[in-house]
Amino acid sequence: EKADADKPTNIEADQMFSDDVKQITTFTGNVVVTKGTLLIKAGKAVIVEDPEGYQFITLYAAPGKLASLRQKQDSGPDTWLEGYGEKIEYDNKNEIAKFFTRARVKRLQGSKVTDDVTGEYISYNAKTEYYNVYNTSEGVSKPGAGRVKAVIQPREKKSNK
Amino acid sequence: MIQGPKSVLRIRLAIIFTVVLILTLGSLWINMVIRKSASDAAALEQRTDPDYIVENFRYFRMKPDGQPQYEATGTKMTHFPVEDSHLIDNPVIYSMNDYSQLQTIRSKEAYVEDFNTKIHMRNNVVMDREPSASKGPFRLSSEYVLIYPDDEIMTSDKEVIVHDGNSVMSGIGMQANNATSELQIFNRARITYNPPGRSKH
Repeated sequence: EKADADKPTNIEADQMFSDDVKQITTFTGNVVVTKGTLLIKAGKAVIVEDPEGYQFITLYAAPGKLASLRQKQDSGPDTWLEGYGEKIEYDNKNEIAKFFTRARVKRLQGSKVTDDVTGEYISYNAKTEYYNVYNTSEGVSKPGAGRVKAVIQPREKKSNK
Repeated sequence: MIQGPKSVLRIRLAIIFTVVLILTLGSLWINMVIRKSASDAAALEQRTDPDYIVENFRYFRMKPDGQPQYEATGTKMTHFPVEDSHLIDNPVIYSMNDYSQLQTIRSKEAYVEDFNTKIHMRNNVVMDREPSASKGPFRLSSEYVLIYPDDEIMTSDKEVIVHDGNSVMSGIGMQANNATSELQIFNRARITYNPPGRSKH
């Protein structure tokens, strides 16, 4: 949700290695990233900080698992987005999350899944709450490449009084 | 000169006597040396108290090429001969990193051993690095830091907290290499990035 933009970004892990010259910090082991309602979990995270102080975080799933992201949406009460992939790239400045390889994005209202999308690469913009799905991990859809699948549940009609 | 069997016997006896004399004196001398060094070592071993104290000092150390390596000050330095070690009250160590940033590390107490190659900083250790054109101030604090000045490496097995520009890091156990500007945290690593423009000092 929009309020997340101004919140501090917290990262926890078992170990950390920071290279001040290259401005790269690597976290390994049970990595948890939180920022307001945003919650990302992975096995490893590599953070690059730009001169303005924004972070670009690349998260890699632990072996045999998928990295996961969960964030509350403004588009409705108790509406959440969940995303999965073997790799997640999170741009802390533009609030864009990219899910790669076995990528999946679900939108939930409470516990009910309203959207369920899978593909090779899914890009999700937290500001606009839009996501794009591609059948290749280069972010360009090609005929004959991977499969994209989307299940969109009908929205409940707003009763006009 | 009487030549004959008697004189040969006398020469032989003289030689034997001289050899025995040398051996006796030699063993006496060796015995004395051993006993003296034993007593010296014993004396040293007994001597756990300091042999000199310096107050309000400034200590400069140069690199092999003559360039300053670091400067150390303290309100009191106590020397212990038994290990050739020093205990320093209120130590402050000044050094410049490769980017000409002044680094200062201070604590309540420091214990220096192994010919000044290991400096144990204890109790309220604070290291400050002044900001540069591209980087904000850096501050590391812990209850214990071990410095290897010749290798420009610092380690700790205690909790460390690092304020670095817009972020605050913490964890248990660390190693920092000043020459390569690398920092490792070994357990329970945490970092908080404040949104740019809002640091948490």
